[in-house]
Amino acid sequence: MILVTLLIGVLVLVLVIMAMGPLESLGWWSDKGAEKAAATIERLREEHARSDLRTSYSRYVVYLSGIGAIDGESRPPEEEPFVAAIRDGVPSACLVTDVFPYSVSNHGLTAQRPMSWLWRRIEQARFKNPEAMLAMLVNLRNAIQLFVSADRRYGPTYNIGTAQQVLESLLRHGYRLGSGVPVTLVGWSGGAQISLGAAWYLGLTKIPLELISIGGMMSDDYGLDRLQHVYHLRGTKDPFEKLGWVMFAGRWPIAVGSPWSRAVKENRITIYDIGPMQHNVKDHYFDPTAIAPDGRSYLQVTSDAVVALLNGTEVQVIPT
Amino acid sequence: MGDFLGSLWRAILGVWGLDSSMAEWFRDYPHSLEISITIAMLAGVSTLLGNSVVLFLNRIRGWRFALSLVFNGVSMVALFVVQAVVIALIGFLFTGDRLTFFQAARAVMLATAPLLFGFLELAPYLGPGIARVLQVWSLLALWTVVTVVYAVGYWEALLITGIGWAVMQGLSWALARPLSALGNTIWRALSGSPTLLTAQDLLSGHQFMPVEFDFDVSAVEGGERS
Repeated sequence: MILVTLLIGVLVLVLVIMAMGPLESLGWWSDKGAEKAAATIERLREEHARSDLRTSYSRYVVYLSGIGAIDGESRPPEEEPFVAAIRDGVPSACLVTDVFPYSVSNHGLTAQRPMSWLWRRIEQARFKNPEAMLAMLVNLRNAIQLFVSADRRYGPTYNIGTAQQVLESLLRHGYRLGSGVPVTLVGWSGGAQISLGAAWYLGLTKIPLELISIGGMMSDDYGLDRLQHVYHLRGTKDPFEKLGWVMFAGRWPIAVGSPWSRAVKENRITIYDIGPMQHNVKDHYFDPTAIAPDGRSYLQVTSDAVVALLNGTEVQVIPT
Repeated sequence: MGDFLGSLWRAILGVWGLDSSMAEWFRDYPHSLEISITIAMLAGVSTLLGNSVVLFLNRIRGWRFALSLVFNGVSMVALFVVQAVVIALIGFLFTGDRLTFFQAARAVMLATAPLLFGFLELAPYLGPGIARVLQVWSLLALWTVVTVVYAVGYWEALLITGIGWAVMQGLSWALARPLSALGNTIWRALSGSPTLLTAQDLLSGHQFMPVEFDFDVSAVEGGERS
């Protein structure tokens, strides 16, 4: 009986923490978000009017990290070699990595926030020990934002914020609206959902958009309607990727009218089982020590697959 | 005061657990009306909190925020009144027992105890599902309370509760247009802003929803999305 009460108490506590999750984005929207969104639209109009359509790159790639990210440039260390591999593998593309997907205003967790001291300590702890338990708090906080993005009530305001951050970053990196240069969003884990959410608004600007999801936790977001194609790379031993198929009802086969089903019907979703990867801890997508039968590390298998998709070549998976 | 709080907690736990023996104790408890009013008020505040996302999204502040809360509160009271009358009428038709309005209202308000968790509707993605679970839980609680109030078997009580629920749904359908028009008229007169209030919202326990959305994304692409 005590155990049951304890479990119910923990469940209610988690739900209470979850209930507080949307307050940041709702507060942002209520305070200045709507004005900022309107100002962005106005700026885009002006940008269109005087735009020089030339750009130095044949493609833009925006990397949106998983729920372990602390800010746009502070990712879990295991992702860094992957990011470097994309940069080296697609030299003609501009790689954008400074968007923090779990904040509507692109404020990292260590920026000016009431709890920034806590996130700074966690960041330091993670530098010393990447597997520190304390770092799970970052994952929990950001996972809640993933659900905010996927929520039909909160998603529109949250996603308009992250879409603005992606767009502003693209423009900072020299992207020219109307140039027709394709943009590929690469979303790892929760970053895939944030990409989907942002895609709806990014699509307003007529940017040719694709998504490469790595073990993505994704809903049946309306952003799917604005993506030319979704490449979903998954590990066969990834429980969180599997959970996405259960948790988000719009991805169930019976959800015939959902944006996901629509994209599947239109052959805009391609799924690759790239190997026996797990989601995290060990033998994960970015594990440099787990070696596939063909001699490549799991990290290389994942980065090779992403680079192949970006270069339009064949994806080499680990046969299972 | 301590005794009142203890009794309040006992009543809440009893409703949560769908405990009919608690309902029997509650029927004879001298301060049962005060307790049921307190439970309904707390449930109302929690539910309003759960629904406050609409106020955030529509950027309702100051006196408009206060007014929205008052309207929400009034709509909840109206909901309880209508439900109490419906339960009293259906119960009378089936059992011949004539409940006073306060007896019926007490039963209806007591059954709102699961809505004390109404604030959890704020939870992202899971919130709407949680709200539905709470509605079903409240209906089950009302079933338990009706069993005791009318001293009938579970199946007869289920019939009374079920028909009461169906009548509420029917009323919400039949009164949809006039109630929407009335709500809009009142809101426009007071605030000068349009509203999005349906009778289904009112009678199903959903709350008053004033709307102000002045960001026109369609301007960029010539109107692609609604």
